[in-house]
Amino acid sequence: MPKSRPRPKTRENTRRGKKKVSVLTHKRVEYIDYKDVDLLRRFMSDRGKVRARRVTGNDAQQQRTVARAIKNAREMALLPYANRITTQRGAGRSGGPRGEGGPGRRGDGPPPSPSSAPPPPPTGGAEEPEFAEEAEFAAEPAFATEPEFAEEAES
Amino acid sequence: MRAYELMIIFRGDLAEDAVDEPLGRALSGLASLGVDVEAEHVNRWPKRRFAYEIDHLNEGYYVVIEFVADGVDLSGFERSLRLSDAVVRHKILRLPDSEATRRGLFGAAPDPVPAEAS
Repeated sequence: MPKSRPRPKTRENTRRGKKKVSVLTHKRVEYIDYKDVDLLRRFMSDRGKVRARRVTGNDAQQQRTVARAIKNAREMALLPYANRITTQRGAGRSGGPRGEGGPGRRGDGPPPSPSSAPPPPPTGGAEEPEFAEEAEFAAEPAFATEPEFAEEAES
Repeated sequence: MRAYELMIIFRGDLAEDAVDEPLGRALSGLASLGVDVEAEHVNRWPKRRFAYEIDHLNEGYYVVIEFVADGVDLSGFERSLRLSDAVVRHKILRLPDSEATRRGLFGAAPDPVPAEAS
């Protein structure tokens, strides 16, 4: 049975595509300076997270130095630890585990209240709900399965 | 010889020239350790916004100082920075030798080149 055996990697089933080359290699950056905020920002997502190697094309050594430089820059408040990006979550995802599982709340009781609160009204206009995270999606369509988004998909 | 880079953030609510005094104290603190800092290696940035709030401050004066030292105990100097009221944060990094030569910290003269060749 040829199907039970792991198939040898052929041109048909290997993931192809051009190997990404890091800008560090491309521009021959030999010292990654933590003060070079514009360079380091390229290795961060809009949220302020460090981008994965498969996204940036860094090799292991580059990724290590970039990560260290970003952490140094964060300590000196040159880069953020986190960028708050307000999102509108789909209804029925957040707050799900809270109202359920209580004793005596089976099918006969009143139906559990809608699991997510209605979107809060913008308070003072300081933080309008934006779709900035979706902009992040749109910026990198090829990497939609990045672990960054996996934590939101697990629920 | 070891090259270091020191970054100090001074409070942003000070006047621009009010930074001179604590900065001078830091520099003389280095000098008392036998480290001579050339003026061109003291790099003052314009007032800069923080990426996040620190101690209810949103901006600060960044100063980057490069210096070369050999076997100097900087811990007392760091403590004085930490105690200084004008200093929000500081960081001392050891620069790799290649980067230090590129920046001309080991003397602008091309001394190390023949030394490597021999």
